[in-house]
Amino acid sequence: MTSFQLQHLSYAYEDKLILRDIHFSIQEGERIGILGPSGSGKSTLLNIVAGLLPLKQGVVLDGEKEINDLPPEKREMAMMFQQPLLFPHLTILDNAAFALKMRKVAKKQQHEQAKEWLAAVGMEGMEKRYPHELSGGQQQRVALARALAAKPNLLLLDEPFSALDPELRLEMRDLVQDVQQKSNTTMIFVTHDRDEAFAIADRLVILIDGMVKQIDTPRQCYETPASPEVANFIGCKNIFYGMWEQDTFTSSSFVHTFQHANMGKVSGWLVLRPETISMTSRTTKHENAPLTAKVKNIQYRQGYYDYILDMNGTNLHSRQFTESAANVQMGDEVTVQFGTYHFIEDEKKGE
Amino acid sequence: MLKKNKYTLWVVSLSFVLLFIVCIPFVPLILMSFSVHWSWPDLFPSGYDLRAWEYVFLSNTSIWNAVWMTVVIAFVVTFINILLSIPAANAIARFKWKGKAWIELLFYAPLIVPPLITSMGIYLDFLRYGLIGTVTGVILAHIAPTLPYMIRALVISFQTLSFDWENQAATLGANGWQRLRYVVIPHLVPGLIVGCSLSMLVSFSQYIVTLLIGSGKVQTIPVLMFPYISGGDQAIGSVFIMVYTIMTLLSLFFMQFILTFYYRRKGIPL
Amino acid sequence: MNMWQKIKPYVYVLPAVLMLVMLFLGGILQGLLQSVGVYVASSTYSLSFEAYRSVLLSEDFWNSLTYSLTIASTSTIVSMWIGTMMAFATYYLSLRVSGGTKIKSVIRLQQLPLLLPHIAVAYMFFLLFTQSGWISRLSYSLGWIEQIDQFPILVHDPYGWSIIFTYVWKEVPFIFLLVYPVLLRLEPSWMQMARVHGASIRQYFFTIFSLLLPSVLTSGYIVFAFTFTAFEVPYLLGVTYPKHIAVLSYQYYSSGGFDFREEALAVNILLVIITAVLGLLILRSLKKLQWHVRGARW
Repeated sequence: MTSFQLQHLSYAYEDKLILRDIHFSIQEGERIGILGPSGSGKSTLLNIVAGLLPLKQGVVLDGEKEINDLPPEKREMAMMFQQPLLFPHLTILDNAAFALKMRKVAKKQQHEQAKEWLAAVGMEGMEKRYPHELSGGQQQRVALARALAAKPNLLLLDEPFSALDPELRLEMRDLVQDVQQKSNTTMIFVTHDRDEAFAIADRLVILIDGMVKQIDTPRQCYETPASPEVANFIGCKNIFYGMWEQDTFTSSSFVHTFQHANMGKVSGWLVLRPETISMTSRTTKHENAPLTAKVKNIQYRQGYYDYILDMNGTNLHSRQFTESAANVQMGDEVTVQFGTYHFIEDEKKGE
Repeated sequence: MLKKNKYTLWVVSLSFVLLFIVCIPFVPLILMSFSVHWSWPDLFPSGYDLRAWEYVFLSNTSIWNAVWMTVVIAFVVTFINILLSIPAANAIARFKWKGKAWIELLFYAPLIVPPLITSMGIYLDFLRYGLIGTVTGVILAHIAPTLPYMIRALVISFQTLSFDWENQAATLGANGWQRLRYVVIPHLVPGLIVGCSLSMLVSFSQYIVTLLIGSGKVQTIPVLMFPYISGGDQAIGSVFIMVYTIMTLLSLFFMQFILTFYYRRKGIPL
Repeated sequence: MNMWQKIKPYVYVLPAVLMLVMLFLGGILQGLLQSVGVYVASSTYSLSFEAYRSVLLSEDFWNSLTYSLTIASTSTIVSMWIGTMMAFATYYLSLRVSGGTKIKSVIRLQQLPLLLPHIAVAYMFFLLFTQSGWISRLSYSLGWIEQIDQFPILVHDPYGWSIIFTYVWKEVPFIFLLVYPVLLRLEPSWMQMARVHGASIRQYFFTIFSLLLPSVLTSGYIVFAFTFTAFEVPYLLGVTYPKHIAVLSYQYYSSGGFDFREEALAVNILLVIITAVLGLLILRSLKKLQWHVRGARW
C-alpha cells in the first residue's frame, strides 16, 4: 500500500536549484535509502518531507492527503539527525517520552511506552541518567528510541550514524533494521555511505546534483545502473565507452566479441563488474580469447583477491574468491575472460 | 611536584590579597552601623548598640515600604525586559537580516548614554502623559538602562542554540509554544540568570532617575536613604547602606535560586 | 510561509525597538530639540543656540569637563590595566594548577564587587578614605601619622581620588568578565609552544595582547562612558567646585524652575557627542586592528 508520495518536487535556494523534479512513492513499511554524494540535495529533500523547509513546487502526499503546508509537528513523522540532539535537561526516560508528552499522553503511559522502546534499543536501566552521562553511540540509541516512541507514520533519518565510529555504525545499522522490521515503520534513510545504504534499504533512490538518477533495489542499482554517473557513484569499477556492432564491442582499450549478443549498432557504456571478470595465466594457451593483460596489483581482502590488470594502458578491476582465484603473480601476463555485462546506451548520440 | 606547589602558593596568596581588597570596605561600614561614640584615632568604636538600627526600622516605618517598592520596580522591569529580550536576542543571534547592525547599536547604546540624560529630555513628555511621580513612570525610566544587559546575556545564550534543537522537537510533534517552553527556555536559563541579575542590579542602582521621574513620590531605598548618606549621622547612613546591600544580594540570590530550582531538583550541573 | 520567514526577525525585534525608540531615542531627541528651544509638545518653536553659547562660554563648564574627563580616563585606564592583568594571571595560573575549584573560587571572589550597587560602594569608600575614616585610623595605629590633618584629603578633593578608587574597585571585575572568556578560547598549547621557543611569560602576554585588544577596548569604552557621565558616585564623593559634569547638568536642570533647563540639556547633548565621537574612534581603530589581525591569518 502506498503511504507517501512525492510528486514533482523542486526546490531552489537563493536562485540555486537544489532539487529538480523529484518524483517517487513510498510503500508502507518500506525502507527507502536516499543515496547521493554530499551536496546532492538529499538532506534538503528530507527536510522538505519533514516540513522543516517550505515547499514551493510540487506536492507531498500522505496517503490521499496533501500535506505541503502542514507544519512539521502536525505531520506525525519523526526525524533523527546526525547529532543525537537529546535534550540535556531531561532524563533519558523523559527524552524518550518527549513526543508522547507533546501529544499530552497520560504520564504513566508515556513512561511505560518510553521504557519499552528504550529496552528495544538496548538501553534498559539507563532511564534515570542524563544525556551527558552517555557515550555518543548510546545517545544515538536513545534518539532512535525517542523517534520510534512517537509511532511515526514515517521515520526520517538524516545520516544519523555518520558521527559514530565505524564499528558502532555497523551495530546501529543492524539495530535500525531490527527495530524497523519489528515495528513495521516506514522509513526514509539519507546517507552518502554506499555500504550503509545497500545494507539497510529495500529500495534506493540515487540522487545526484538534485536529480533522481535511479530508483531500484540495491541489487538492481549495482548490477544494472541506469547511467554512467550512477555506475560511477555506486562504485562500479570497469566502465568503458564504445560501440557495438552486432556481437562485437569496440572501445579505445579493447575489442571483444561476446557470444549470443546481438545489439545492432549503438554506442554507449559497457559496465563489467569485477567479480564477473576472470583470468587465466598466459602460459596456458587459450586460442579463442584475444584479451590479454598484465597483473599490476594484487590485494588480499578477507575471502577474496582484488586485482588490477593493465589492459593496453587501461585499468581493469577483477575480484576472485580465494578458492577459485587463478595462481598469478604481480607482473604476470594473463588472459582475461568477461562474464555477464551491463550496457548503458548513449541516448544523446542515438543513431 | 615542587613546581606545582609553587603555583598553588601563588593561587593561595592571590586569593588572600583579593579577599582583603574585596572585604576591607565592609569593615568600617559594619562597625559604624553598630557604633557608639567612635572618635578619631580609635580603630574600633568604644561601644556598640542598636541605636541606628532602631532609628531606621522603628522610628522610620517607611523603610519596609521602600524595600518593597524597590524590589517590585526591579522585578517588573526585569520581567518586561525578559519579554522584550527573548525575541530580540533570538533575531540578533540567529537570523541574518538587513539593518541588524543598526538595531544592535540601538540596543547597546543605553550602555553609553546614561538614563539621566534621556530622562531629562523626556521629562516634559512624561509630565504631559501624567507619568511623573508615578511608579509606572519610574518603571519605564528604568527599562532603557537595564535592557541592554538582558539582551546581551540572551544573545550569548541564543548563539549556542542551533535551529536543529527546535527542528528536532518539531519533528517529534512539539508546536511553537511547546518548543519555546521545553527546548528554548531551558537552554536560556543560564543566560536568563545573568540577564535578570544585571537587570535587577542596575534597577536597584538608580537614584537620580527615580528621584527625577518619581519626583520624590516614588520612595525606593536609594531615594529614601540619600539624604542620610550625603551628610548627617554616619551610623544611620551605614545602616541604610547595609539594608540596601543585603536587599540587593538577597534579591540576586533569590532570583538565581528560583531559576536554577528546576535544574537543581534534577541534579544537572549548570 | 516564505514571507513570514523574511519578516520574522523584524517582528521579533519590534517590541524592544519600539520601547527604546520611545524611551531612549525619544529622550535624546527631545533633549536635543528642547536644548535649541523647540518644544514639540507645546508647539513653541523659537530656534536658538543661546543655551550652547552660554554653556560653551562658561568657565564652570570647561572646569567640570576637564575634571570629569580626568577622573573618567584615569579610572578607565587603571581598571583596564588591572582587569587585564588579573585575567591573564588567573588564566596563567589555571593552566599551571591542577583542579579548577581553586581558580574558580578566585574568580568568584573577585566578582563580588559586580554585585553591589555603585551608591553602596561609594559610601563604603567614603567611610574608608575620608580624613577621619578607617584608613586614617589604621595609619595612626600603625604610627604613620599623628594628627588627623596629616592624612591626605581623598574625599571631596579636587582630584576625585575616592571617586577613582570606587570606580576601579567596581570596574576591574567588569573588565575581567569580558576579557577572561577571550583568554579561555586561546589554544592552551600556544603557551607551551611559546615557552619552548624561549618566550618569557611577559613576551607571551604581549604576543597575545592584540587578540585581547578588542574586548579590552570595548569593555574599557563602556567603563569610560559610564564613569564620564554617571551622577551618583561623584555626587556623593565629589568636590563642590568644579562639579562633575553630570552633577553640573542636574544642578542646571533642577535649580530655580526652568531657568537653566536648556543649558542642562545642552550639556547633555555635548556629553553624548563627546562619547559618541570617542566611540567612533575606538570602532575605527578596532576595524583596522581586525583587518591587521585577519591579515596575520588568525
